[in-house]
This record gives sequence, structure tokens and C-alpha cells, in this order.
Amino acid sequence: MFAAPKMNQAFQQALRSERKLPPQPEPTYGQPRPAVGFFAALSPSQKASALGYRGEENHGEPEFAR
Amino acid sequence: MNTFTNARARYERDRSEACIASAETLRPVIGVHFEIAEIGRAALDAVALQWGSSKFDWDAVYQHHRGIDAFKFAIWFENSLCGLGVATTSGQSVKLRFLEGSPDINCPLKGRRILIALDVAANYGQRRGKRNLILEPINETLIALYENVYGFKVVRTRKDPPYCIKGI
Repeated sequence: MFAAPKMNQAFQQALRSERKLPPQPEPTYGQPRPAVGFFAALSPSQKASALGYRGEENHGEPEFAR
Repeated sequence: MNTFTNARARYERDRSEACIASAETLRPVIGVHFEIAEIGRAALDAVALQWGSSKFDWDAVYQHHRGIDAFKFAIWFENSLCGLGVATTSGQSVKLRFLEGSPDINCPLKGRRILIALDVAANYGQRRGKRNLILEPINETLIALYENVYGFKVVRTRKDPPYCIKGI
């Protein structure tokens, strides 16, 4: 008698647990953090690999693709 | 100045400072005196005039990302357009949503435009107080590059497209 509602509840929970959280609102006045960029935080081997890379780079949302 | 004008001015300042800081950091290590600037008419015109064709409709991308936080940047070497990118912010993250490099195989920044884009996006995010840099959507053919070279973690869920994330 209670099987259908329980199954539905379990299904909804499973759906919720897999769903990515919606983006949080942008705080207009976020507290700045040390602006060191990205490169400075790479390890020496990562820096060498990054500087030596010559391959594909493009990415973007498919809806804007030509 | 009212609150909105103040907020807009700070976003503009953060973008401008990020462009300057990343260029100054990366020019010596890359060995090319490139510039980073916000996308304007000159950059959009250069897509057609210099590239001939592009992977993305940059006029549409530009028009679509009109939010106060949207950071639309161009990478230049002398008068050559080397790359275009778009980053946006939300909550604790800055997200690099687009990057396209010049199709010119002799572009002096080939392969390094992604590094420049990640650095300037991270710099902007840090100035905005963000803790994560996200790549979304991701180019599946570049997963190894994102993970092994740049240290991103790939996040896959059953429902949503995968994305890459790294603390900044």
C-alpha cells in the first residue's frame, strides 16, 4: 500500500543527490583575495609543461558554435 | 556615485588590473610582449578580418554576456588578434566559459593562450574574492591537459555535463 510513495520518495532523493547545485548569487562586493593569478601556483613541472604546450586550446558553449 | 555605479566601477577596475597583472607576469616567461584587453569593436572586427572564420559566433557571445561581472578579453600581439575569452563569476567561483585562439599556425602564442586565459581569469576571480576556477563546458579532447598540466579535477555527475575545477 505504501510502496509507491516510498519508491517515488527514493527516486526523488536519488535525482536530487545527482543534481548539481544551482549557481550561487554573485556577491557584488566580494572580499578580494591575494591576486597571484594561476601560473604562480603551478608546480615547476606543470609550468614547464604549460609553457611547452602547442596543441588545441578552444572550448566554449556549443550553442554559440558556428 | 550610487551603489550600482560604484559596483560597476569596481568590476571594471578588477578586470583592468587583472589584464595588466597577468600580462606582466607571463610576458617574461613566455617571451612574447603580448597585451590583454577587454573585447571591443576592434577585436570583434579582427575575427573576420584576421581569422577569416572562427569556431564561435563572437558577436553573439559578446551580446549574450552582458552582465556586470562578464569579463570578455582579447589577447593581442602587436596588431594581431591571438585569442578571445569569456569568464563569468558566481558565488565562490570564476568560470572560464569560452576560449578561442587564432587559427594562424604561426601565432606566437599558440598553445599558451589557454595559460594566459586561465591566469587572467584567476586574477580577476581573486580580486572578486573567488576561491575556485571552473572550466565549463570542457573540451573532452583536452581532459589530460586540464588534469595533468594544469591540475584541475574533473567532476562528472549523471545529470549534468562534466566540468573542471581548481582552487585559486
